[in-house]
Amino acid sequence: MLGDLRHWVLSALSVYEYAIIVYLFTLSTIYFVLLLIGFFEMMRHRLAYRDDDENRVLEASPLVPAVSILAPAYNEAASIRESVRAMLRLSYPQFEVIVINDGSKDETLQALIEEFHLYRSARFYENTLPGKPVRGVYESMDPIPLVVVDKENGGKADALNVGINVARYPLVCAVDCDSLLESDALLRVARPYLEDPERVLAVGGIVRVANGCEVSGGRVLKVDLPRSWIGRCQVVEYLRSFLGGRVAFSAFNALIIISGAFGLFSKRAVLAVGGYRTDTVGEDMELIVRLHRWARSQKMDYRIVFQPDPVCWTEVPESLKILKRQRNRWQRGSFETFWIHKDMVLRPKFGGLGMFAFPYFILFETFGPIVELAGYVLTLLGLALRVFDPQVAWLFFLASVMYGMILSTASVVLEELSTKRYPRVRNLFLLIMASLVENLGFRQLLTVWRALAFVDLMRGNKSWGAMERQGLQTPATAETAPAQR
Amino acid sequence: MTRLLYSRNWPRIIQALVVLILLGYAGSVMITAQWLEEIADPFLRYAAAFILVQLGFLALLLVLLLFGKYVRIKFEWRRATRIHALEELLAGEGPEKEIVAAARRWPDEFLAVVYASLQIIRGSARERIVRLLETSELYPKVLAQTVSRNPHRAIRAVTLLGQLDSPEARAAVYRALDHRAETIRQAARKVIMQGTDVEAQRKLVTRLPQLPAWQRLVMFHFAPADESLFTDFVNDALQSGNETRMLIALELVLTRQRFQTCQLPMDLARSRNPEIRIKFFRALRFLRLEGDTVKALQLGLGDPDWRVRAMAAQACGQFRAAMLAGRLLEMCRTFTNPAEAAHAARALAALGGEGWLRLREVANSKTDIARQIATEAVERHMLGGAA
Repeated sequence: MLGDLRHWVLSALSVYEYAIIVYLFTLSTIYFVLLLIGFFEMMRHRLAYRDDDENRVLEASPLVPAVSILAPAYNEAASIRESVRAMLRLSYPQFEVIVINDGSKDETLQALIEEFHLYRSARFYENTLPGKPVRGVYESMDPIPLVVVDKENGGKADALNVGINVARYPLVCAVDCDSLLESDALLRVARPYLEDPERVLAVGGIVRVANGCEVSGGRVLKVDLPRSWIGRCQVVEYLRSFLGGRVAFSAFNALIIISGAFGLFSKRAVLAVGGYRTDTVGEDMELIVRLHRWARSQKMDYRIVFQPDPVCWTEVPESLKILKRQRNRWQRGSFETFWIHKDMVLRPKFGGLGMFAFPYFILFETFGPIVELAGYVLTLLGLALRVFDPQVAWLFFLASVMYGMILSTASVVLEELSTKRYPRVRNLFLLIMASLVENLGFRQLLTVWRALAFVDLMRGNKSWGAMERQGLQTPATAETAPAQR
Repeated sequence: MTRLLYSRNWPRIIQALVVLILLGYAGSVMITAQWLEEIADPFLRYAAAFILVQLGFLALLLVLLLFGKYVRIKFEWRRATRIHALEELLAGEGPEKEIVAAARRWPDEFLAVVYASLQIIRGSARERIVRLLETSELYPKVLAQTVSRNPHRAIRAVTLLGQLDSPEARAAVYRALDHRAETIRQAARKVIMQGTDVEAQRKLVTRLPQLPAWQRLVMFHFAPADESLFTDFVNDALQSGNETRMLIALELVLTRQRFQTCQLPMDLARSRNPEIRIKFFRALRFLRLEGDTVKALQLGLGDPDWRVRAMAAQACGQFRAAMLAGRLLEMCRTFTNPAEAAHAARALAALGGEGWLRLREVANSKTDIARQIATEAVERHMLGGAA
């Protein structure tokens, strides 16, 4: 009896090991295909958008649809003045900046009132989307298009819903208060909408890592890489995800993520689907999936687009503790989104989204870490029980790591061939090193954290987790930084 | 490659390229596995082959990256040096022979310098540069390049020739209007609009309805300052009865944002197309209406579409149409969409006098939404906001 059981367990282990190998190679091959598609699409995009003079022209056109920029803020007193000033300096014919103070416990509201000469305004708005009570709406006495909504704390999604209620323009752009938009980012992100206003429901821009860059007055003056390897690995990760994955999915109208840090939406469409859901930590992804679902069920001819050239710079965590929190939240957000929309999987009604994008994200992005972690554990177990041939196990581990290195390096190639934001040879060298280092521990660590997020989800953890930021490098700190080291 | 990128079959080409690359990858693994036939276990053999191919691929990527960066930096440095040398030659009074020889040696840099110079230099110096270009061996090539399949060359040729006034340069630019790539057609249109050939501009303006909306917006800005061309087009379009042309004419007027002497037919306020009615009231202050403005505004305030009513209310404020204050007040109290009431309230604030007093009454009334909208309009007006 025991012998049978042992035989059964060993056979199962062996089968699982081979299944894991197939799984990892399928995943890597899909990534590779996405990067290839991303590469070709980027080349095309580069040729089709030679538009510097056109952008200058559109900047002055009264016929370009106006945009309401929504910036939820929670305890941002230290940086809010700079962030809002940067947003007000964007190049766009007509826009308003709506800062939603989501019940901050610090002096965020006071800082805004003092800096921008706000008065309590009688601005009328309708509570079309549900949200926590608004304590007051403030506008500036200066001729600047700034509105500040002070409301009770309800989370980012709730703040965005209130912001949409207050917004007056047909396009809404959700941004993170601590992110920096390049001055032409709004115009570039709105371009697909200008080109095809009837079909385009949402547009996402690229999010780049601002750590290590020199920042002043809310602008990135000099692009550089983060000083830590954790930061550099994230640069490679972001490049792979945005320039490879998102460009490719967008080409097939199967994009299911537009980063919460920078996304433009048709207000009409967002209102039609009922705004952001407040009961998930992945509200940005969930909204996009719901937009797809709504548009497809209405049999609409629509597009949800990713644009690789509107840039939003953001600070990424450089401490393992905060990175773990962030990835845990992202993973829980994905789980929740797919659970909410599980009935879309493998439904031809939802086209490429239901038949490819959704199964891919569920199999490889959402459950991938669990399968991969189980694979590592069982491989070690199999080696300990002498079920696996150590030579085979090592070979496949090596192959998997090398494939990862190729994908990461290819994403650096993609960056170098397309946008070339990192000007120096030293940057390129460090990026290559990061794309190699990333696969020797960093990726595996993220896998473990992402798998553990599933446990947190089962426990009913709905928290965001505090995201402490170190602050970006100003010219002054850039000068003093070597002394500090 | 660039030709493929502009193909209409691009999505299918991508799929084919991806499949080809994957097949190439798999083929390399197979070939490497055959080379490793000494390894008896097929599983191990293919795994080792796969790793070797990956190693090769990784090495290739790294070499491409670093070598590519090195070559690019070197190339840019050399190009900058040549451009500088050419600029010096062109700026000096040296023999033209030397310049012609340099142009033959470095054609790309020469064209770049000529293009940059033509944009900033006027007078005899400009004429000299034009003569140098036209007498150079490059000129016939540039003329032919406007229809080149290579978009880089075609766009460069179009923008460069757009700076010249010669008939053959113009003809070459016109040929680009029929290029298969939209980017090049658009470049040619921009160049013609910025040029001096009024006849060609007239032809282009008549083709505006065929362009997508965003390209029209761009073209409006490049439209020449020639008032007769502009007025003729707007007058013709507004009288044509063709809805698309009428919309484009109104868009053009709205883009210019200044008063024009064109006639605006009253019939447009009764158009079946709400977009035309909306733009009619937005453009009302920039055009001469054929008829009574108050009647048109009355018509707008009674329109079945709230968006038209809102724009008509806005126009009431701009025209200070005090006799319509009663209707505006009614709109503040009963409305389909709050935006309509907000426009009416702002118009009342702009009217002043009786309108202003009545608005303040609404602001003190008990009807919740109307009161809030009126309060906002009063507040905005008192703070000096726009009507």
